[in-house]
Amino acid sequence: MRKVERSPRSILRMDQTELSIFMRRYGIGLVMLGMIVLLAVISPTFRKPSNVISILLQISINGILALGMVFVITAGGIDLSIGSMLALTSVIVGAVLNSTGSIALACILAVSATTFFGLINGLLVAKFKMFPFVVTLATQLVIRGVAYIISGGYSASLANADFKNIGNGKVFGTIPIPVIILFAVAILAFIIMHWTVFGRYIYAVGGNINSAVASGVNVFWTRTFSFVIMGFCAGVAGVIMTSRISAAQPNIGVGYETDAIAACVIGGTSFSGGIATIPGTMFGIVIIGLIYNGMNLVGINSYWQTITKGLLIIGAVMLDMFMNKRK
Amino acid sequence: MKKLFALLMALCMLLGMVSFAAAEDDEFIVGYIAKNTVDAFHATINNAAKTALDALVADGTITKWNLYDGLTDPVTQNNLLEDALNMGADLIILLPAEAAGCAPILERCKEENIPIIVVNSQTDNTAELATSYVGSDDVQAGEMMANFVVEQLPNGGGYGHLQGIIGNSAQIQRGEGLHNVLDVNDKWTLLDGCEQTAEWQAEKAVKFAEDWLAKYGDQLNAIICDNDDMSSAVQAAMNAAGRSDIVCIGVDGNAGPLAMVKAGELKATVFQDGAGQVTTAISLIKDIKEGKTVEKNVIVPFVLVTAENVDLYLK
Repeated sequence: MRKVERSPRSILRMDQTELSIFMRRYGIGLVMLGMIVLLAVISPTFRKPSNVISILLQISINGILALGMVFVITAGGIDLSIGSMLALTSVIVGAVLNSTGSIALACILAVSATTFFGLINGLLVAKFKMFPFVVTLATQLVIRGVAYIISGGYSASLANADFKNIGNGKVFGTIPIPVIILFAVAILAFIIMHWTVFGRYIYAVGGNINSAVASGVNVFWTRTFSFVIMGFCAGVAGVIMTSRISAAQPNIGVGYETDAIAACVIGGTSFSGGIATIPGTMFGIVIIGLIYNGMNLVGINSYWQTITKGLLIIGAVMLDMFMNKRK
Repeated sequence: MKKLFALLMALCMLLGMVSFAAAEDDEFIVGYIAKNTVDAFHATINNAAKTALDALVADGTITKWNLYDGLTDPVTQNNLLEDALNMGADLIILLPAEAAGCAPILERCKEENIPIIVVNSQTDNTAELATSYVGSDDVQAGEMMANFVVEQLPNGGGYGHLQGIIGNSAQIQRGEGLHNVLDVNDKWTLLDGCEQTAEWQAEKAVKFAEDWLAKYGDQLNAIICDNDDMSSAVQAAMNAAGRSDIVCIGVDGNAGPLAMVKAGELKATVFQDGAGQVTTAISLIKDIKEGKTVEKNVIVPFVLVTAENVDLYLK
C-alpha cells in the first residue's frame, strides 16, 4: 500500500480537518480512558483479565459492524439493513452447513450473499441517487424476508460441532478468535481508510461531493464500494454471531444497526460525511462495550444503559458540531 | 495519538496484573439472566424474582444476586453469562430468549461446573444440561385455548392464528397444542392465509385481524393468539367493529387482558403463572447449594381465567 501524500490532500483541503479530527479523536480517547479508570476503581471484577477478555469478545460483533459502517457514513450514506444481513448470514450458514457439512463453503456463501446485498444497496444509492436511509430501510425488509424464506421461519441448531470454534474458540487458550478477527478487520480498515487512494476518495465523496467530482474522483464506485465493504463486514459479523449461539436463526440481529451507528458517531464520525478515523471508531466501539459491561458489573439497571448510550450519542454529535463550527 | 494508545495499553496490562483473585469461597452469588425487562409478563416475573431473591439474601442463603437484562436477544444473553461468571456467580437462573440460540449458555455452565435453573421456556438442551427446569407446558396452553373456542362456538367455523416470534418455544408449542385440537375437529377450519406472526405485538396483531375481517367477514369466528397482549387488542378491535361474537383468546394473564375479562369485554384468557414459575425456581436454590438433588422438571400449570375466577388474578 502506498501512502498518498500531500497533493490530493491539499486539493480537498484535508489539512484543516486533519487537525479537528485529531482533536476529536483525542477527546473521545480521554472519555474512554476516564471510563476505564472509573470502572477499574469501582469494580474489582472489571480488573480481572477474564473480564477484559469478555469485553473484547462482547464488542467483536458490533465492532466489525461499526468498522464497515464507518465507510458508509463517511461516504455520506447510512446502512440500516445490517441487522437483517446478520440473520441472512445465520440462516445461510445453517442451511449450507447442515446439508454439506463444509464450514468453508458455508462461510463463503454467507459472506458472499451479504456482500452481494451490499452491492445492491450501493448500486441503488449511487446509480439511482436514492437516499441511503430509504434504500436500506427497504432492503432490510427484503433481506429479512429472504432469511425467513430460506429458513422456513424456523431456527435450526447446527450439526457441525467444529463450527462453534469460530465464535467460541481461543488462540493460545486465552484470546477468543472473534477478537482476533476484530483486530484483523480493524487493521484492514485502517489501511484502506487511511493509506489508500480509495480511502481518500471516501473522505472526498462524503466531505464535498462536487469538489470530489471536479477532482476526478469516481463517485459512483466509491459510494457503491462503501456499501460493499459494509455488506462484507456484516457477513463476517454474522458468521461469528451464528457460531456464538451455534444456531441458525432468521430472527436475530434486530436493532444491531443502532449500536454500530452509535459506535461510529461516538468515535467522531460525522453524519454529514467526510470525517472519521478508524482509531476513533475503535474507541467508540470500546465505549459502547464499556457501557454494557461496566453497568452490568456495577449493577445498574439496563434502562439506564439505554439512556446513557443515547446521551453519549447526543454528546458526540454536539462535539462534532462544535468542532465543525470552529473549523 | 500514539502516546495515548501506548498509555492505554499500559494501563490495561497494569490493571490486569493487579487484578484480584476470584471471590471468596463463602460467598454465594446468583446471576439472574432475564429475558427482558420491558414486556409486562417478564416485568411481573422479574419483580417476583426480586422479592424472592431479596428474601434469600435476607435469610443468608445467598450473599447477593444480580439481574442481567437479556434484551430478548440470545447473543446478548450469551455475553451476559460471561459477565455473570466474571462476577463470580455460583448459580445461574436463565429465562431463555430463544430455544436454539441460548443452548450454548447451558454448555458453558456445564464447562464451568455451575448449576443453572432454566425458567419459563426451554432451550434445546435443557433436558440434558439444566440442573432443573421450571416452567409450564405450552402445548397444554395451546390446547386450552382451542378447547375454549370449541366450547364457546359449538357450531364451528373459521379461525385465524396470530403467532409470537417464530422459533420461540412458546410459539412453537402453543401452536402445536392448538393444532392438536383443531386439526382433528371437522367443524373448524384455519382460514387461508390466517396463520401469521405478529411477533407478540398487539398493534401488529390488530392489523392482521382487521385485514382478515375485511377479507372473510362472517366466515371469521375465532382468533387465537400466542399471547394475550395480542388477543386483548384484537378482541377490542373486533368489538369496535361490531363483531364481539368473534372469540379471541391468548396466553399470559397480563393486567390489561385481565381487566378486560373483568369488564366482560374479553371472554377468557389463559393465565401463565410466571411469578409462580420463578419463585418455584428460586425455592430450589437452597437445596442446590446444599448439594441435594432437585427435581429436574417442575411444571407449573396454566389456568383458564374467565369472568368467574378473574378476581383471583387481578391485582
